[in-house]
Amino acid sequence: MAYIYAAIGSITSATRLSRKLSQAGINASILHTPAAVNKGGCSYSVRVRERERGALMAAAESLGIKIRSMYNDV
Amino acid sequence: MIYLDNPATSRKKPLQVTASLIYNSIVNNSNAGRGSHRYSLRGAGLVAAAAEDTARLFGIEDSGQIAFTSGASLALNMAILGVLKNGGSAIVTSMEHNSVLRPVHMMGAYTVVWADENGYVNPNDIEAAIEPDTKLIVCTHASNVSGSIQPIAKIGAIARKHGIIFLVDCAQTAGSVPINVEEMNIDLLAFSGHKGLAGPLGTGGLYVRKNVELSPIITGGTGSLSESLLQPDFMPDMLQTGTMNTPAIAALGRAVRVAQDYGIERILHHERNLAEEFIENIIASQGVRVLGGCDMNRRNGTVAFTIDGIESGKAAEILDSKYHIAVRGGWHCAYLAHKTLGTEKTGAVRVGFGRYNNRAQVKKLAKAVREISKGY
Repeated sequence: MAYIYAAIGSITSATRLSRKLSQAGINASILHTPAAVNKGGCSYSVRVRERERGALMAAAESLGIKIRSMYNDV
Repeated sequence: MIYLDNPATSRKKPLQVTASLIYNSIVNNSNAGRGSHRYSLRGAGLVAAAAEDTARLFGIEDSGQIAFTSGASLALNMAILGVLKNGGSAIVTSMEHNSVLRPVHMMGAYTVVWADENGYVNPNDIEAAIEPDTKLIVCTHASNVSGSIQPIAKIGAIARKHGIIFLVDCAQTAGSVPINVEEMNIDLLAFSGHKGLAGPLGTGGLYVRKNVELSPIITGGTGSLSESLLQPDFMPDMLQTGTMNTPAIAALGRAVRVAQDYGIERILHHERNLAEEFIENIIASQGVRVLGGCDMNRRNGTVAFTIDGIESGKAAEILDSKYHIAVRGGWHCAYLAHKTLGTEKTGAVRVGFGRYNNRAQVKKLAKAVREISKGY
């Protein structure tokens, strides 16, 4: 199954984004951003299925949450 | 024992709130949002859910603009010091609590707008006090002494017209008087969780409207942007530093839902009715003076009064020891309010009716006050 990850600098923001997606019936989970992607410091990623990329972006935008980067399975 | 010190804190909490506090103290007592393990994520989810509940209560569009604090005092300090940190002056009213007056005094530049003898502020007086450097207007929603409810929407409209940040102290009204930040033009809202909302002690928060310039006064760990030595500039991380009291915040969220399910208007109606009945029962008593106006539509469930010849502290002591009624005497951390109401030398006895009080208790209190006024 293909997943897409949105790296976010704040666990609070990641939690809000994950909740917003879950409330819309989308399965979202939060994981530590791997060092290969993260430039240093704490970063968390919200993971959804690849096909939910649009919903993820829209939810982040509606909450005013800045996505640091998008990546696939590392 | 009849408990009537609700303006300080509500003692009885809904069973759901206590149950939530106990459950989460056992099950969800990890550091919320400081890791990606399941307990931390669950804690972060509880805090986010409580923010969503709180946002609904106050008509706030984005729950991410709410930061939880230990109470209204910290929230007010964060707002006042955070806005005035880089200069500018403030306008405050004479009905403010020391949680407002002390931080503005500490910052140095402020004007006090005096309320009338019943504790009501005239919005025109606030507009007249605006100076070119006025950056902040602070007003309490309801006085913690007299229960006078201020015309917040009108004052907010004036602040908006002049491009001045408007901070409202809702310590005495959150959970017992309807509040809507859009309709009332509120930019910053400080609230207490443990009073009218009947949440756990040590809870409260601050709402910050988007694009309001505010500097954090406490910095440290936020679970975000760890690589930077700068405090995050986005809400709520900017103001939520350090380990949060997750079980209490979760229980506060529960308290908000309980209050909303019951109905804020209904709570106000109940508390106001009890206050009115009490006033009617003592107003004719010799030597008893009720502070604030008689228009119940402009009051909440708090009533302050004086009894000739008896110090307020002594009267409160007698009510406790002889009648088993818990009230508060003194100056209630609001000396200017007492000066406004003409009780700066005596202080006053304050009773605050809450959602769990009833008419039988009002009758007992009124009888006790009448007896004390006659020399008990």
